[in-house]
Amino acid sequence: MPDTRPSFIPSALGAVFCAWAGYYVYSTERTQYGGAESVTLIKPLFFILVGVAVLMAAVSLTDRAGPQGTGLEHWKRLVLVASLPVFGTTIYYAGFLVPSFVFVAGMTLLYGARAWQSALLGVGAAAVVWLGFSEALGVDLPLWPW
Amino acid sequence: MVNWGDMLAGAQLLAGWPTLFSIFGGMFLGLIIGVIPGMTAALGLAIILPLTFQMDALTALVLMTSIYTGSLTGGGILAVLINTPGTPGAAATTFDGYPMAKQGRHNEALGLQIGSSVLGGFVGYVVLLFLIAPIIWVALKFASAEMLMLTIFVIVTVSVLEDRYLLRSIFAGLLGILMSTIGTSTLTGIPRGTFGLTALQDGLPLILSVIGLFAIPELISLVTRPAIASDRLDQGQSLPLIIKGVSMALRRVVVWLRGTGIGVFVGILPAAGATLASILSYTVTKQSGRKDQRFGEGEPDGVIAAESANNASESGAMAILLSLGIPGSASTAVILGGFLLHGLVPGGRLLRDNGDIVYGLILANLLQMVFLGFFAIFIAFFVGKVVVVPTRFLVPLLVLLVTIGAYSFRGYFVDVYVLYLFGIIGWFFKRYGFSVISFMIGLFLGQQLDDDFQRVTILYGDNLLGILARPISATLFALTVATIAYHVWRMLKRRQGRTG
Repeated sequence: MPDTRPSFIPSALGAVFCAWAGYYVYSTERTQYGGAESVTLIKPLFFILVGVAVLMAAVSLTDRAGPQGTGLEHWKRLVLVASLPVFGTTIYYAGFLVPSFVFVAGMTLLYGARAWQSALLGVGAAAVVWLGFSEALGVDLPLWPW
Repeated sequence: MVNWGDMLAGAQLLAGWPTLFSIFGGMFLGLIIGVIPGMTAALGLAIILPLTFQMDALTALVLMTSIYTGSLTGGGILAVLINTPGTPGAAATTFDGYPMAKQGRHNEALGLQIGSSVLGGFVGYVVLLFLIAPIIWVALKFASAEMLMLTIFVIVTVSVLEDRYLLRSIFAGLLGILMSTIGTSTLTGIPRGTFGLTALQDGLPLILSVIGLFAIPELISLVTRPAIASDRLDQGQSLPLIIKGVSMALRRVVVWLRGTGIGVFVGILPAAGATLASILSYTVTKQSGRKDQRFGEGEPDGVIAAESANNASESGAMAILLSLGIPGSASTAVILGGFLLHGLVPGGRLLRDNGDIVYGLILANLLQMVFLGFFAIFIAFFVGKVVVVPTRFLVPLLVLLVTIGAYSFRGYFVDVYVLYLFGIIGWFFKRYGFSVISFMIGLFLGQQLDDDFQRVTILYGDNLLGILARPISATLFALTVATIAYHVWRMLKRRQGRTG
């Protein structure tokens, strides 16, 4: 059944992006030399953006159409979204090799793969990172924490 | 117009095994790079560049352009199969290619994509072979004022296509333009919105932003499905169906010819050639489509329009590189490096002093297009299996691949976070009806718009309307106004129809 409740999220998104744009234009304009000349386009654009956001908010309040796409209600999606910053931070501190194994093995296991399949895929992923990308393609990846 | 002597000399230079090996090897490597999410042609070219030291100039350049051509087509394969454009120019291929894959029609979609790539690329290079001089003459007419009007025209055209949430679409486009200006201002040298991060001084990595926008939301969405083509898990790989798709592309002459024309011309324009060309071609095809065609839901013409323009733009980019020495993208910048490495300086004198090499290269590119079809079908046949791989395996592996691709792009961890951030933005946009296409167009053209706007402001001062005295600018302005007027008229007519 389609969701017919009015959504405040588009307006909230508009507000968040307008706040960023405001900071962006303000911080650029405040730069001592050349700041004023650097906002020739982005300053008027910011005001137009705010205008569109206000109109958008007004329309969104009466808009009964349900959101498109898919929500985060499903635990699998929630886990995936949550895992992104965790994985990104881990590779920064621990290198690519071990986190790649843990990420692939852990996620596949969580999503319903058998233990041996997860372990095999984890090892395979680490091998592809090391042998495929780092050795064969010569990509300069930090493999280890050191 | 064509120096037949140089062309013959170029053809003689090509005769021999080294050229064929370069084409085969380069094409294969390019296709592999293209089908790995996040790996770019520029990276592949940069890896191969040192290996070309010992080669003669033409063999080295043929190898590099083969990698470039292969990666463009490989990027399209990825766009069809997992909604992830391997190259920015393949973004428009996802609009109808991926819905076809989800319906279990991935074989046909791949055939359409490969067929139109080959046709667009081949005809594009034929055009380049005979019309290089007039193409450059027209390109040189595009100064800041014309580029400004062209950019505005494209943004308006794409935004008004999103009927349902027009305001959200405009908002997304404006936000894209603003975000694209992050980084050091070209004209003033002031870093803008970088939060002090060195990695952002060159601006946002656009290809990673696009991969984030398209791939991450799709992976989030996919994870609850058994497989990409979960409704047709019995639909495995089929060579006859891929070839059927290729022949279908061959039959839609008007669509691929129009896409090729747009691709060749727009490809000449720096910065966003392939992306702009494929989206413009898709938009024009959608607007001129029949009522029963359902663009965005797996319409074959959408794939043909996008891919023919995407590959045809390569010849345009090559034209501007050969004749003016201007690289239109990171990949062509590395190819430019290849020219310089072998003592060739692209520009007006290249055609005069090294005409045999220039014509040899264009002929080799034509040859590449012939082989491309076979190679791409071979690769697509095997890679296509991805649509029936269970998502419990596929999603974590793809997250890992795009993450590695993001890091390897420039060697900055910030790029991984940029990828994820744009993924989350893309997810919100997709869910709440903000047009991802408008946002992407803004991202791609915003920097150009900013530079042109600043230049126009300096050139015309208070008399900004002075740009309309230039014929091309005035025509583009008239087209923009006509597009808006047509959209408003259509909206009013639809509203009248509803109330009446």
